[in-house]
Amino acid sequence: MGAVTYPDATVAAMLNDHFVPVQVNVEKAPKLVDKFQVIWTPNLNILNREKPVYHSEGWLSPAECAAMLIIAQGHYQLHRKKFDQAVPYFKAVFDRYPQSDFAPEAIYYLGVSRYLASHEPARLSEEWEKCQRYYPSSTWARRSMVL
Amino acid sequence: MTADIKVNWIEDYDQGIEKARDEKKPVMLDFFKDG
Repeated sequence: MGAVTYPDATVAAMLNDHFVPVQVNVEKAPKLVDKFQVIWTPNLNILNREKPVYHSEGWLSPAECAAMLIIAQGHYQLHRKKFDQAVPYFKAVFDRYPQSDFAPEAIYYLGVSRYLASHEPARLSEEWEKCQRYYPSSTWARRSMVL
Repeated sequence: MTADIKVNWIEDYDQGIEKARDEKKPVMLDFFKDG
């Protein structure tokens, strides 16, 4: 991550502008490793204060990392119950990174956010149908088959 | 040509949590291993 992904201008700007980036060497912080139950690196945790709201393990390319940072902002707003504010982040993952591994999940939670903001089931089904149409082999399409 | 941008990493966890609270931002906590 340090050699390729973090030096990427888009990733670095996102981290500096929209997050407080904290980096911990696992060999120097055993209490934090235990607290977050870290067993593998890279190990990325998005926190609302000290509460984890999103987690990603393993190396990410710059584009995948950018997509992850956007979806993580959506989950951050979702956990704060700011459902309307979560919507544009989940939508942005699909609009800007439709080929990303995070895109099907973003569509799934776009439906969740829109439903929670409006309490209209149609908002959920619109997005989940899109998830099934565009990403039929994804786990998120299967999770949305309930509708 | 794109200018290099460096991530402004904070290495102290507690300091990062406090800064996030002040700035009302999420923390991105990256655990890494040398090499």
